[in-house]
Amino acid sequence: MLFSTGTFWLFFPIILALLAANRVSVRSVTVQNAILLAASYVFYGWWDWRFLGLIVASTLIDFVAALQMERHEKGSAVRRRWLHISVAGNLSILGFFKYFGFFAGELKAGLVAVGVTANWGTLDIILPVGISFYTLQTLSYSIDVYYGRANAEANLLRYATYVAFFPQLVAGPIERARKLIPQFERLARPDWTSAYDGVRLIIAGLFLKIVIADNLAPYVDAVFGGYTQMDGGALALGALYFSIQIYADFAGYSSIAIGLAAMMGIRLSTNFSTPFLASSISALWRGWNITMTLFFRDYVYAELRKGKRTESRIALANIATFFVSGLWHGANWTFILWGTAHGVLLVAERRWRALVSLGERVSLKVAGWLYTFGLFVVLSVFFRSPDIASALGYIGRMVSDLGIPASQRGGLIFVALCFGLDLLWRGQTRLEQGLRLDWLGRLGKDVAETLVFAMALVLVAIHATTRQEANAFIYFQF
Amino acid sequence: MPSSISSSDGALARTRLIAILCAVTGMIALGLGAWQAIALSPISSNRYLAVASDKVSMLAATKGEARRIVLIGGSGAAFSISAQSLTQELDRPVYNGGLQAGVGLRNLVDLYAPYLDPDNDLVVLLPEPEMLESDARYSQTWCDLVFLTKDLSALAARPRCTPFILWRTWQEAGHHMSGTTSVDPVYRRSGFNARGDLTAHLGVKSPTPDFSAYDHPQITPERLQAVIDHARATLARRGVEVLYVPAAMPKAGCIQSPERVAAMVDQLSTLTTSRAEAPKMDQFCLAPPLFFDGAGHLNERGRVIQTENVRRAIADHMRRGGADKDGHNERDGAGELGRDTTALEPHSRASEGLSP
Repeated sequence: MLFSTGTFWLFFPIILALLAANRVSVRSVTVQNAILLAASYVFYGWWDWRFLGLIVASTLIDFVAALQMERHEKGSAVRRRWLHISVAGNLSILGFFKYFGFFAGELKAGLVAVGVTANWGTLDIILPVGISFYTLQTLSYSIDVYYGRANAEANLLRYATYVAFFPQLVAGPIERARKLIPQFERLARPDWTSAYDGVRLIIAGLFLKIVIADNLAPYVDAVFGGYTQMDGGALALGALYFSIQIYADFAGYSSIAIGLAAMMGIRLSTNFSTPFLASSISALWRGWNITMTLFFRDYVYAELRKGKRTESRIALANIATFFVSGLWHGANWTFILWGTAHGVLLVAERRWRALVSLGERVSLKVAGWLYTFGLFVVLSVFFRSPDIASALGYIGRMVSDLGIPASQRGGLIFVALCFGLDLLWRGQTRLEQGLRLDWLGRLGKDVAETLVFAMALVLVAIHATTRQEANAFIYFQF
Repeated sequence: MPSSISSSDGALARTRLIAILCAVTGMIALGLGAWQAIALSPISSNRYLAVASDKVSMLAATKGEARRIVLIGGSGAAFSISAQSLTQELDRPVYNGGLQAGVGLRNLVDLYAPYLDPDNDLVVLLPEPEMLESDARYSQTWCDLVFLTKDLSALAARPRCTPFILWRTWQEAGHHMSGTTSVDPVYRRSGFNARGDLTAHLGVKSPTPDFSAYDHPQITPERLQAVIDHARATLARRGVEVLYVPAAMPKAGCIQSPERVAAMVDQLSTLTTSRAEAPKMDQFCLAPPLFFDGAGHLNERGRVIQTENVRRAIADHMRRGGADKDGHNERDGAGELGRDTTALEPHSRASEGLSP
């Protein structure tokens, strides 16, 4: 079920009504969690009910492992063994469904290259939607329990609801147990404030997805599908559009997810915070898919950096973490190269900062922004291309024939509008201060904000009804 | 981690939420007001689909005409059948209500139903497979029709069309400002004759369409039955005489899935109110040179063949007990009809159509 389809908007009010009925009549936390879990399984099963078994398996593995870890002392071998069981269980599921085909194919290609006959067939394995997200979430739970950063949850219904909570099940935000599970220990009580915030977040998210990302998709598909026939200007615009498309798509999803949860009285973590306004790669990653970045920081980088804190060790830990992040995005060398390149840039940036103090001058910030956004756009070609040869071919054509042709200059106005919108909406998922319209005065801001959201909603409705079919969110494939 | 939810005052939040809803309602009202107020631009008023109101007026003006025949179908009927020829051949007034597949058969039947006369009319249903496949109570084509007719009651019946109407109103404002008037030379309202036949394509040379990638639409029997049930309830149960005649189809579609086509035709034949036999599909499966374009529209030669197919089906219907409201029996006119087959050259052209 997609957030951007009519089916979902028939489904969601039913869930809201059931939760409200429970709040008014039964007032049972168990009933609330049962409704949420059932809704989450229906939501997920809408794609393919067979993969519900994987979520249940992942849930049970970590539920049992965490309880067992808590029963044994810190540092004990048994506790460690249960952590290994949990990690191995989750990574096996992820590895089989996401990476088996890739590694089997690479091994076969490697053997053939050295003259060894490898005539085994490859399995055509379907990648279950959202597996990368809920696996990371359950892994974080097991690791937190192991280190004593979180308590093991003894209530299976509550834990299963945490794993499968439908707004964030398939593409995040990746929530830590200690933040989300306590919210399922009490009756969620949405109020007018959370409803208002939820509605704004949902409108902003739908606008990003339906009006911006889905409208860019056909152009991006055409450019990347036929890049050999296009000039450099069109390719540069294609890469620029793709960067905005993936941001609007993913930030839009996060925004809707957080908004839906808010309407049910549940708080989720911010996942995007104006990453494209960042003036360094490290700042960009502090605002892009924040919960995933924090996961890799806390569970991969922190582990790799343990021991003597030398610069080379930190650099290696950074690059290795981004290598893993790239691999997490997809079983393809393009993702690995994309992630690793970001890691290398981060290290280079760190070294540069150690040598030169940039200060706060506006001109330097603008230069930093150009460098950050420019590199992100160029590297995004690897993210979107089917293989490295295509990505290099695309970039080669793009730089050998610079300049945007007159017929396509209107596209740059669109890009500028997207940035203007981003400034206005402050990263879509942080609405504490509302839109950046303070200069209009209190009343002026209220009126303008109301009109902006109303207009956005009307545009969402228009685009949703005039498109051919709903596009799936890009991050579902990861 | 930063929280995503603000901590503004509850009462204020409620007021702001209501303000957004009011603003949305206001914007929609403003947009619909503009829709009603702004006259259709030449580009819209002469669009192909705009002929719907002419067809409705045509049926309304001729309601009660003795022994009237009304053809209902998609653009296949509009392009591929000559109601004018049939009027002469059958000596009965024939009107072509063929419009566009995207409208859907149920919507089209509903559109024409108020202008049909159970005491006089024979309705000939000629839905293309595409029309049955895309049959939906809500569709963009239907919303476009609502837009062109500026019919508020039709919008009230399909409120989901509202965003589409707003979008088209916006486009319309753009047409007015740009002053564009160019319309497709074939797909245009002024390309129809007084009987409702599209004639703008006659004499226009077009390359033979390529049907090698033609994919016969997938329609489940259940879905088809829903359409049949609706047509039966709206027409036959009101006493309107109905005859189903297959629309012309590219031969590739018939060869690709003959069982599926036969099953569909058999099922649709249950709509016919006489005891006529289910039509033989091979005469409706035509060769590519007889088509005007890849959308299944016939050219001048193909149109002669399909018109003759329809004439024969009507004749058979009358022979097998189709009620003639004036007491005429179609058998009486059979000889007369037979005479005119020479003019239409049915046999030679039909065989040409069946050849690969």
